[in-house]
Amino acid sequence: MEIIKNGIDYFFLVYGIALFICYFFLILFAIAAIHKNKKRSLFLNENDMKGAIDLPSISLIAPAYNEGKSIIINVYSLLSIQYPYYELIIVNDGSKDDSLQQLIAEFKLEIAPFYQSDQHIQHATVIGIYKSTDPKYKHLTIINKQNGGRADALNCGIAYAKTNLVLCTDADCIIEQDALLKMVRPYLEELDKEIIACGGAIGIANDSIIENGILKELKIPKSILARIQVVEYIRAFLLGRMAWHHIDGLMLVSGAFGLYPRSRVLEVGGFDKNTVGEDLELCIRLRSHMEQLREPYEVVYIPETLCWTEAPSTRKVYITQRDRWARGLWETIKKHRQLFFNPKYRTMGMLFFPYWVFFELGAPIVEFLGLICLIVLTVFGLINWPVAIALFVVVYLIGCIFSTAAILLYTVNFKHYAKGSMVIKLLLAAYLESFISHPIMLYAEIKGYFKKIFGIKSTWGTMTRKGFTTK
Amino acid sequence: MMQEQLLYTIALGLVIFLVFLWVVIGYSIIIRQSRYVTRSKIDAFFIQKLSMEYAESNALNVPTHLHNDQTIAIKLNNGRKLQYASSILIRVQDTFYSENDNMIEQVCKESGIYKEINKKIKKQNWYPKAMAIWLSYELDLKSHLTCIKPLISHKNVLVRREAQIGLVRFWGWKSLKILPQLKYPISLWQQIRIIENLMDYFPIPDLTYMNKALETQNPFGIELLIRLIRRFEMHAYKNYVIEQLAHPNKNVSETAIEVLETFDLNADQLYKIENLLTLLPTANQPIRISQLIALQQVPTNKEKQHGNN
Amino acid sequence: MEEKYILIVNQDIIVSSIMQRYLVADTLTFSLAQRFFEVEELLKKQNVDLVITDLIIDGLSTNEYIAFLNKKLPNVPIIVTCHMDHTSIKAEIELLGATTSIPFPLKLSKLKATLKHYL
Repeated sequence: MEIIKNGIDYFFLVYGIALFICYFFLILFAIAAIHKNKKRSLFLNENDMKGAIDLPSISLIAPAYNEGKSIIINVYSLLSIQYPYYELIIVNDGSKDDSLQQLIAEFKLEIAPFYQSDQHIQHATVIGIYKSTDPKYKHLTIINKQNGGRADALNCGIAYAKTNLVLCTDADCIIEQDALLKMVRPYLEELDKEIIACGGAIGIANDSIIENGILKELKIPKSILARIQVVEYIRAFLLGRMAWHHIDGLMLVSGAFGLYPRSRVLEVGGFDKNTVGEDLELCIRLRSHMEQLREPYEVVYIPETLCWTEAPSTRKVYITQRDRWARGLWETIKKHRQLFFNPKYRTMGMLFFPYWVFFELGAPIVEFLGLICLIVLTVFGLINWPVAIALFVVVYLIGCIFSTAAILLYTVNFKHYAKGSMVIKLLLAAYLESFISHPIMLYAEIKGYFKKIFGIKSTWGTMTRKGFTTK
Repeated sequence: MMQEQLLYTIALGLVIFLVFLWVVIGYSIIIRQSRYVTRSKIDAFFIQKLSMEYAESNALNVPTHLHNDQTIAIKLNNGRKLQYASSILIRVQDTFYSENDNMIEQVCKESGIYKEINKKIKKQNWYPKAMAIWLSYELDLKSHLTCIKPLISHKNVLVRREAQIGLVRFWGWKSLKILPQLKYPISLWQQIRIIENLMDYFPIPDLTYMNKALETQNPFGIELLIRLIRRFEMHAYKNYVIEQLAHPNKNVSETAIEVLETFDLNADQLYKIENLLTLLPTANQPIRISQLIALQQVPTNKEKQHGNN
Repeated sequence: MEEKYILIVNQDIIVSSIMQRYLVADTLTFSLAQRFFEVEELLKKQNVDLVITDLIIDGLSTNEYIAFLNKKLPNVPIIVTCHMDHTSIKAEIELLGATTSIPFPLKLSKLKATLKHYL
């Protein structure tokens, strides 16, 4: 019994220490990456970019399904983007509400001649393509298609796009007006490595003021759950993704805001319709494809928050979202399991993919097992409570330090949360995370895994949103 | 008991570190606010200074409200402030022409920016060095050309890039003579900067140097030349672009297709492209080239107006 | 002479201030705005005789913005300045209702002459 108990103790201890070491190095890499990005971006004068005729053209693709409540304001938001060569493609994914009718009326749309889409990727049947008769909206295209899900709608938009790059987003995202000028930078600067995907940080804009589809005033969300997610996003984007980008190990570009070379996405067949984690899956597939071609490539991240979204503010919606993310992760890891410690895929196979298996997929499982062990050992009276409490305090404080470091990095480098009162609210939310959102998240993730293990069918899940405060 | 004590000692260390992070956050917020005030003062100074300079350069009677405020100039005493001041001057330089070619240079000298750039350009560290080169050509500090010239093959990519753009900025079309010697890749951004600098400051192409540049074998150099041919509408070089359709480098052939799509081609040129198609492997390009031929065969208004070249 | 009211809109306060200080005259009154909501507020309070505006401003899409100015100020000259000097963009701006467009970099003397021409 003692041997088993010691074994369990050491397993959790080693796993915990390994995880903290990884996080510690991620902080160091993130600092270096942010610093490097800041230095390099100083040389790229936005005025010069606006005047250049050789910029790559970009299609902004936003699928919409039953977004009738906010579709008009969202399209206005996406139309306000400043970039000399861009088109906006809204893919109406067989909405059952009056989204299409609203769009037709508001933007003076009429049926445009059908043109042949790219045949490399499949998608559900297109019913009609609409263009505006008003010159104000000449960059806007609406594709009305049969329902096929988010990935299918994105594939349809990519197939019909005519540009060098495609930016995949959601119709309900608020994108900063200069986002494309910033996102395109890595593509302009690429030399010997091809940029196969570029992501930008996503922020949470619950309770913020949106005017004409543009974020006018950023506020800290009123709901504690949404507020904690602000910290979670800062930590994930600023510490996590920037750090992985720094060591060429970035495996995920968020589905809500990712820029890809259209030709490469077509080459790999577009988004996978059979997974709910289509963003992670595409990124891993693109990387694997480049590894197989033996061509140098890079997946990059921009630390600036360029896209704002609404985070779930109720427990129910939060669970739905995290359950879906967990299932997406499970499906993708399973689909690409051949990468696991596969030297053919070099560092991706030997280091980055195993990290995802052990620490992204594995962490909720280990945590859940830890809870079970805690209960069992308590029942058998094998817990040394004073030491357990001291250990909890240490682990909790380390978590607080990581979150505080993320907030510090954000405050130093970006202007969004510059007021003292905002920072204090974020810090308090960060310190409550372990008690409020983390247990719910663990429950949702385990629920997602459980569904996958036992083959319980589940769909994308309805993301009920409150909607932004608009004027 | 020992374990417990050790853990609480670690916890105490962590709490101290946490408090330290709070202090740094607080400090950064205060510093940001004080920087905002300083920057507003620098803004005010340059608005006054530059309005006066522009009025003077146009031989206008400088109105009394455009007097100079020397008290702020004295405070431009550190790198960060000078960097901010330089960014103002670049924005202004991008926005307004002056009748006096040396106006911005004079302002740089008076405000201490010139001296700072001089210092930085000689540094070993790549960042200040590249930054100083960038500022030199953006602010039109011609006297720095001698320092910039030897850096066009520097080992650091940014120093090299900025030095090459700087050379274009000061030498214009003459700088293209070095293109055949360049072995390093040239990013799209660098190509854009070269093209736009030529467009803004040397709008009439010098074909002697253009012809010399055509000798380059560097695929990035060829890509640049193709883009230059489009930007300056050098129709006499269309055949050069057509030849690049068969270039083994995908980026070069794709750029050639993109550029040819914007040109009107005559029957001979179309015939030449069709012949090239038979030589190409069955990759993606032949499809696009076929599309290009199809596009060119549709008579357009553009064709009717300009005729074929 | 009758006093004229000029609105200068540019995201960069340095640029709009230099324009203002250069163009200043006894008969002209200037207001500066950096963002769309500032333009909205100013137009609520004041009649404008001429607008000098950058093509891109924070707060509204370019096309919507020019159309807004055109609708709000039907007979007022709108001079658009812009870093994008592409023929298609110039044509598009004028189609949306701008009186004329001047690419950056510009000569302030030219801007002054344009201002005189339209006032």
